Amino acid sequence: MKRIVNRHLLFREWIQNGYLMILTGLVLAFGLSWDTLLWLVKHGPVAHLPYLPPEFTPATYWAHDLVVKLAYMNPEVFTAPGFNYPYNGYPGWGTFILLMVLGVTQMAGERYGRKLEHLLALPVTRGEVVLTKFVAGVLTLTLGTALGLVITGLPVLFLPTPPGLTLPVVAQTYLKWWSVFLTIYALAFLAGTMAGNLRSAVLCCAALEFAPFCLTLAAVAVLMTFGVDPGRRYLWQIFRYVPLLTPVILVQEGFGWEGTALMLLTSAAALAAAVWVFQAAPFEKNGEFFSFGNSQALLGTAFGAVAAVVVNWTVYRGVLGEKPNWLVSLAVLAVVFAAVFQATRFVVRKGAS
Amino acid sequence: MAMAIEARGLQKRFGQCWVLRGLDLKVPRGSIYGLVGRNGAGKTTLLRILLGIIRPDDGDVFVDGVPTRESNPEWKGSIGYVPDVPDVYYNLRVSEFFALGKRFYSKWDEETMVRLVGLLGLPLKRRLRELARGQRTLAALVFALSHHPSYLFLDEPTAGLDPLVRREVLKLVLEEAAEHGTTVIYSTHILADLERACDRIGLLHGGTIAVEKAIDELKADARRIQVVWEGEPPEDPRTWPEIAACERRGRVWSLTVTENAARVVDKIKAARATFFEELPLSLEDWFIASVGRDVQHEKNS
Repeated sequence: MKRIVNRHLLFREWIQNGYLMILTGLVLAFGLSWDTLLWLVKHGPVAHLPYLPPEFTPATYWAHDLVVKLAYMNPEVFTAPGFNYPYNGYPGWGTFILLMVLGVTQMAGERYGRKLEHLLALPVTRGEVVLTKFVAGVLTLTLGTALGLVITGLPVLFLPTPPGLTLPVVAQTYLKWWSVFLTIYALAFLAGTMAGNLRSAVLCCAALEFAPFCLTLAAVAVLMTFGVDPGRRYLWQIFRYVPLLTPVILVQEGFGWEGTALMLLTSAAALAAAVWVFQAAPFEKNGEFFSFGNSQALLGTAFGAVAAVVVNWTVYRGVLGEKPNWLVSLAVLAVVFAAVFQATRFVVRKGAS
Repeated sequence: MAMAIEARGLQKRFGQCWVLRGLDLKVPRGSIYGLVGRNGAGKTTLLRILLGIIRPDDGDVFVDGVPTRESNPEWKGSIGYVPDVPDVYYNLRVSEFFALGKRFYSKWDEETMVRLVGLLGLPLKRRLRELARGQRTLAALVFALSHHPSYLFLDEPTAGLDPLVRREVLKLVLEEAAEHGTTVIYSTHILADLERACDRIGLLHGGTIAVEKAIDELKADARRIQVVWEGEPPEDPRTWPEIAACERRGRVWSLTVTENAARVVDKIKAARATFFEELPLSLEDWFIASVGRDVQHEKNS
């Protein structure tokens, strides 16, 4: 255990990054619980009358005080989509962005602030440095989630609740959420470990968090313009499955135990990759290819692909009237990609010079 | 002579840029080794490789004859390090920074820390981010010296310090080396500091240690020689391989010699100079003469 997590390093993490840890923990705790509770005030018991105790009717509901209203949670609505949907995902996104910031700054922030150099000269192994940092973040999000669970769970314990709503149900929901938080944090941590500076770390983080969903969406959109029916070709199954790899998008899609397991596996894989990358080269700019100006070809390909998909989809819907024409689609994809690829390279080259 | 630190065939490149090209380095035990070189010559990279912070593309580092691994805590427990940019742990108070040192180093000497803090006037209650750059460097130096390291790596520790504090820092380093037999590698652009403190010096140029000498040897070999010839000299001194730099003002030739000064004097005598005078060469002049020739060559090409 001594070799995995160094308590002296943990102490340093606490003193150095304590503010961010406390902020993230509190936002996680209150973001989760308040968002859920507010949702319930607005929709919960009224929207799901069958679950209400007999003394509750829409007419009598509003007569009760706020605490009682908050206490009535419905297991059907106490789910991931319900969590974010009513407020267009705003509170959830705030939580996730803070988690990403925590993950990215753990390594990229230290490297950017030139603090990593002194840290690595201390009598500790590289493994201890990377694992202690990871554990510090995991402790933060675990304590934050646990606090959220307590805030939400107390009313369930001590106030009358609808049938089916028990503390284990609430705990399960929080456990699933914890797995999502862990994955977001782990991917951001990996991004910060791979990247050389904050800018490339943020780009790398965004790529890890959003890329699977965006790539699937693009692939489906392109195939549809060629007349491939996603439903018939099982593409929608892929479309439904791949977002599980993208925790941020997952919020809008919903998830179950399968998703939780996938989240935990993804987190473990991200941590393993981060440890490997850090041990191989802790101080060098491993991911500098994500930075602007370093790779015209990469940027050209990325922007070219995005532009080609968007224009092709627009032509498919607006010009072709959603009638697939593979010749037109192929031509649009090729021409737009080539044009934007060259334009991007030209702009980058101009900017560099 | 027993070598405390030895590097063999170190190679390192960043992208397409080669920083070290087969560098060999030998640092005798208990010596203060000055590392000089132009900006971007690779001094910081070399120190980081020796410290195990970054990994060389090729080559090995030996400490007391034993190959080091980059993540060896035992080896790191015996080193002190002052980085060139002392942006260490911004949010920590100075006292917390030293408390951290106490946690990490078994040989941490609280008395030394208190003495040094008092001597250098460091404010224990202020946060590191509130300190001036020079004060942060001093904090890093106190951190490094308070556990009496066997090996001390200083990367431009006196940059940004006023002359009084600079002198104090040098004194502390010399005291540490004298009292505890510490092996010091001292990288700096302030060559006067090296002249005062170091017993050996290495010039990092072109990715290798181009020149490595004891300071006394260097002083004995390097000279500025003012020569007067009636008319033209029989042989142009600029063609002599020992001459690093040559300047002519009328009949007076000013020759900068970085090695084999005695041989040059013999040549001057053989060339029947009317008058010549040997002047000591400062380390700064030696550095400019040693590196300047290559720089001029690079510019011309």
